[in-house]
Order: sequence, then structure tokens, then C-alpha cells
Amino acid sequence: MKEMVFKRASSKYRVYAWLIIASGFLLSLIAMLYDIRFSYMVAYFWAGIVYGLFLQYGHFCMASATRDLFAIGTTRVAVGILIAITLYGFTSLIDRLIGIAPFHANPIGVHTLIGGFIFGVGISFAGGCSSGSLYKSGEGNIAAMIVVTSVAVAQALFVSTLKFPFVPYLVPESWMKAAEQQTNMGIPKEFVSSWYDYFLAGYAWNLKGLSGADLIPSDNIFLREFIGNFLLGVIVPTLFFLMITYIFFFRKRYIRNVKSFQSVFTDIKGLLNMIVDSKRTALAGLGLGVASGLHMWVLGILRERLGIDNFGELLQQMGFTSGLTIQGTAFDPGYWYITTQEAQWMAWTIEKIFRVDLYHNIFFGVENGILNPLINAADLMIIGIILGAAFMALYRGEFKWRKPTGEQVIFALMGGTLMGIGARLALGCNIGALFVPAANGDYSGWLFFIAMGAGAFSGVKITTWWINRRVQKEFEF
Amino acid sequence: MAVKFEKLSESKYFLDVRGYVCPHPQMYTKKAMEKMPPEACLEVVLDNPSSCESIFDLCKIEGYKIVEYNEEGGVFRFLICRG
Repeated sequence: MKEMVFKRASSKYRVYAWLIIASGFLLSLIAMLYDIRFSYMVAYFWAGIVYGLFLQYGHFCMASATRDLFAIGTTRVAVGILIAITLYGFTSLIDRLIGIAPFHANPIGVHTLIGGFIFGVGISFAGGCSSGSLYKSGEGNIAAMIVVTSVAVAQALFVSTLKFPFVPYLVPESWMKAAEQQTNMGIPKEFVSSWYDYFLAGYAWNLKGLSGADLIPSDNIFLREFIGNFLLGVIVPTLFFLMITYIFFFRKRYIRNVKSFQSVFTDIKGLLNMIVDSKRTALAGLGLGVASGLHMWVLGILRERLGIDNFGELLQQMGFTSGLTIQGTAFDPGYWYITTQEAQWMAWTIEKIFRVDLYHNIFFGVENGILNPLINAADLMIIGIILGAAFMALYRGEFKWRKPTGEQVIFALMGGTLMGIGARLALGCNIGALFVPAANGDYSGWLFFIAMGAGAFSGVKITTWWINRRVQKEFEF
Repeated sequence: MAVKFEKLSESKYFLDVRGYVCPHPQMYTKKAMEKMPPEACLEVVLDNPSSCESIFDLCKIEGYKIVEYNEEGGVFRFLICRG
């Protein structure tokens, strides 16, 4: 059996690769020499570069993890993701124990299941998750760029424009009342008019999060963080999903290969064999896990040094006030995130081109703002991911401008749109609603994982039906 | 460019899935391998790097033999035999 080997590209491509890194370094240096406060944006940008490097190196995509598990029986990426979650769980545990982690548990509810399911169907059609589509864009894949753009357009329009006459019928009375209370407490009425405004103010804001720490009846920080969030919130669910993956997708094949089942030790060996099945994906998972924790740590330190709680304060100090929320804040998760800032850059672009107002709603006007993408720290992380992936793809000879077929364009548009809607309903994508919360002991992340898996399973069924149809029509045996 | 599948001879088939992203290349490969006669070989051409790993996995799981594998300018070629 031939093996897939790490290949170095021609020297011309390697020069392009290093030019990307050198340009990024030079621009970062100039920005920080001009004003050291730009270091906050530079930190997000370089976090993006590191994520992009590892994502491309391991071909790390949550669509592959779930979809190929059902379509082909591949366990490689699913295991890599669980390794990444565990590693990030450990590094973020340290961050939280030393008190600099900005993470808060997401609201958990039926929206997590519905949004995760729609997102899962979307990634099956699109051929990549939110992070996967970004690294594939860095490889020169135009279909992936269409997915990223569709995700951004779908979100920007979904949160701001759904005000058609039928919408009141889809807004429960209880949401109306709860949203009205929010307007009585200070949110201007003109910011509550779309379906998504009622969804947020009338439903999501009233939900609570559920993390491993909530299961610990003690105020001791070590017990809550180590036993609660890390062991019960990260390790136990990770082992559970590893066992499920092993039993249903790997065990039969392993037992067949080792010829006989001897004892429980055969299964333990099999489980370990599954974990190290692809060293490269496991290594990428390790890198992503460590980088995610370091990212949180660096931003925590910078916030302390710069004396801010939110990026909006820094922008105001630096004289940038356009596009901030009504409270003067800006989207600034403090950790790896993808979809919200994609919605922001698309809303900014649509506003500039079509001269329409997408600001007067809760998502943009109250929660995140619509910043110029060039001064939006979280958007710089997106640019960093694409450039980091481009560096690695160029260096390994995997960069190529890949023109999609018409069929792929339709799949990309459909998938991207479903991903955008799903991400907004679940309040995040495979990173903000899965990877980050799951690694921080927040059970909403694991619930999203299950729902996304179910959605990917349904998406695979539809895609398989489509492929079977084409095979029957066009393949002659 | 649409997916292209040709019978080159009784024992050799050709599949061109350039321009397709995941999961299409690996799923078309899987379908073609399942439907081909035993002892037949399939030449697959694709340009989506992550699908290559899935095709390696597919062959490992199904016991197919990868006789040739090469890459040039971001285009990948496999020669996979069932036997």
C-alpha cells in the first residue's frame, strides 16, 4: 500500500509561502511601532495564522470528521478533533485557574439542537465546516470561498432583515413579552424588530448555560474547574465519544486485522491504535489545542496590560468609533471564533455597496457592532487563518486555484446558507458553539456536536442519493 | 467540468473528479470501486487534497490496493485495484 507523504513544493512556491509570513510580520511590526495598542489586533491576526497552519497541515475539518465517518467509516479526523478538544481543555483549565480566561458558558436549549442540525446538513453539502472552508480557501479552492461568502451573507441577512408580514406568526407571545421587558430595561425599541431580535431578547437571553462546574456542590475553584469543567465537562464526554467511535466504526476492522479477539486488552490496544491511526491529524489536533489555550492566555494578558474589558474600549481610545454597538463595545470573544465576524464583514460590505441599514437590530447594534474589517480584530483572525493555510499549502505544494463545477457552486451556496442560518440559531458554528465550549466544560458544545453529527448524517444520506443517481445515469460498467 | 467516468478496458476504469470538493471525490471513488468487476483497477484524478486522505482511508478499510499514487501541481492521481 502506498502511503501519503509530506511533500515540499518547488522553490518558487516556497518563496511565495515565506513572502506571506514576511509581509504579515512586517505589517504587524509597522502597526505596533505606530501605536502599541495595535498589538491587540496583531495578537488575533497571528492566532489566526497559527490556526490556519495547523488546520491545513492536518486537513482538519469537522465536516470530514462527521461526514466521512458515516460515508466511508473514516475515524481519523473525528479522533483528531477529540484530541484537540482535550488538549485545549487542559490549556484553558490552566487559563481559568490563573484567572485570565474570558470564557462563559453558552445558553443551552432546543435552539442548540435545531441550529446544530441545520449546520450539520450544511457542512455536508458545502464540503467543509466554518474552519475547514477557511483553510480550503487558503489552498486556492474557489468553492470554499463561495461557502465562506454564503455563510457570511446568510448570517448578515438572517439576523437583520427577516421582517416580512408573516414573521409575527413565528414569534411566540412569550418572546414578545420578554423582549418588551428588555426594551423597558434600556434597549431602544428601534433595535427590536426582526425575528432574530425576538429570538435573542425574548428567548436566548433568558436561558442559562450548563457546565461541568455546575455539577459540583462546592465553591472551591480547583474542584469546580478541575473536577467539574475539566474531568466531567471535557474528559468524560471525550472518552464517551471515543468509545462510541471505536465501537461503531473501528472495532470490527481492527479485530479483523488482528485475526482474533483475546481479551479486553485487545480493545484497549485497538482504542490506542485508533488514536494514533493518523499521526498528522493527531499532531494538528495537539497544535490546535495548545494554540487555542495560548490565544486565550495572550488576550487575557493584553486586556490586563491595556486596561480594557472589551476591544470597543480600545477602539474608542484610538479614535475609531464608527460601527461600535450602542454601548460602545465590539465583538471580542477573546478566543477562537469564526462566524460572527464573517457576518460583520458582510454586513459592512452590504451597507457600503447598497447603502442600506443593517445596524438597527440586536445582533449588530446591541451585541457585536459592524466594524470596518481592517480594524476588526476578530476579522483579522479570519484573514490570518486563510493566510496561514495558504502558507502551509504553498509550502507543501498543495496550493492550486481550483475552479469549481456548476454543481459544486450550487452545493456550496446551499451548504453555506444552511451553515449561516444554523450558526445563528445555535449562537455559533463548529468553533464558537462546539470546539470552544466543549473544551471549556460547557455541555452546550457537546449537544451541538450530537446535533451537528445528526445533521451531517442526514446530509450524507441526501448527498449519497444524489451521487447514486448520477452514478446510475452516467457511469457505464 | 462534470464528473467523468470511462471504461478504458475490461480491467481498467478512469474517474476524473477534478473541480469537486469533499465529499464528492471519495464518494464517487467508493461507488465506482463497489460497482467495478473484481480484479479491475480504477485510475482516479482529483485536485482536492483532503479527499486524498479519505481515499487512503477508504482503501485501508475496504482492503483495496493502491498501486500508484502521485501528485503534480496540486493534481493527484491514484491507481487503485480491487484484488
